[in-house]
Amino acid sequence: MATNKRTYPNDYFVYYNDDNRLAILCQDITSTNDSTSDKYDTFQGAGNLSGTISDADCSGTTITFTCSADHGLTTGDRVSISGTTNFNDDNLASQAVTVSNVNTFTMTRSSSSSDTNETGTFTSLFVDNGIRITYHSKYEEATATGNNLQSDLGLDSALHNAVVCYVKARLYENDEDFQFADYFRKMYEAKIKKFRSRRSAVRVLSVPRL
Amino acid sequence: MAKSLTVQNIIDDVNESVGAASDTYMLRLINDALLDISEKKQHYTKEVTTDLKTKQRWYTLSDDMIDILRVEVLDSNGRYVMVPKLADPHKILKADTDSNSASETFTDSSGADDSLT
Repeated sequence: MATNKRTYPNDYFVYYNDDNRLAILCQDITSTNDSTSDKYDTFQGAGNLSGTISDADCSGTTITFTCSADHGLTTGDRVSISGTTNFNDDNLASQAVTVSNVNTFTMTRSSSSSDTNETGTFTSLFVDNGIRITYHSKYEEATATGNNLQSDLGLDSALHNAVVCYVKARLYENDEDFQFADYFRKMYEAKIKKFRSRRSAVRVLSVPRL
Repeated sequence: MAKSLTVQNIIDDVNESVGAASDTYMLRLINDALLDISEKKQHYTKEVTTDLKTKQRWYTLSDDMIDILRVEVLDSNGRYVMVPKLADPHKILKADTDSNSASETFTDSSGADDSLT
């Protein structure tokens, strides 16, 4: 288990996955009624984007928030609003924002209002780029004859000839020339088998006998 | 240093030795080869990031993922920290629920998983 080296929100995170989805959990450290009885629960910490709202105006149910600096949000992001008189979370229809420009976004109020000139703060309900996954991937799909197998598709140059052999084997199969097809199929298999998929470093120091 | 081939190089090579085939068909064969190689050799690694969302448990994995090597979470110092895999979630998690307090969480987890980009 990961040790508690760093400050929240990354205390004791774990993940698990099925074929289609990845679940991120963190140790349940809350003591409120919102807490479940499980040891691990869905992440419920605060986000890492926040800012000062220098002006908030409502027209009908649309609230326009103007920030004192770039907010860093994109449309669909969810934020929590606090410090205002009439536009805090409990007055909002949802916490999703629609971004107008780099320092302005809009949200929808649950009931119409004409309140203006309010100030407050926003905090994101997400950690921006908070999850990073490293994985073995399928190669990129070839879509044009100009695609480079290495730089565009990710295939190591040592395997390029294997692709040539595979294509030839398939074409000879189509022509029912099974002798050539079998030859190129075996060439293909041999090239795949011989390919060293990991670049290994020297693991031991060779000390000569003196 | 090994010469890096383009799709056109392969088409030219095959046309020379086997006979002409359409570019579309050749692209299909090359993609078949790439899929076959990726099944046999897990060599191509990629990194993707997405937002860690409050009260969202599930994140959709893309179709090009073969297996996950590492999952990291951004810490409060701006560094990615590797997190362990929960080996026996069925024992530790008594119920696979996102939250017992916020209704929108249920919607997120069932239909709007965040995509990894």
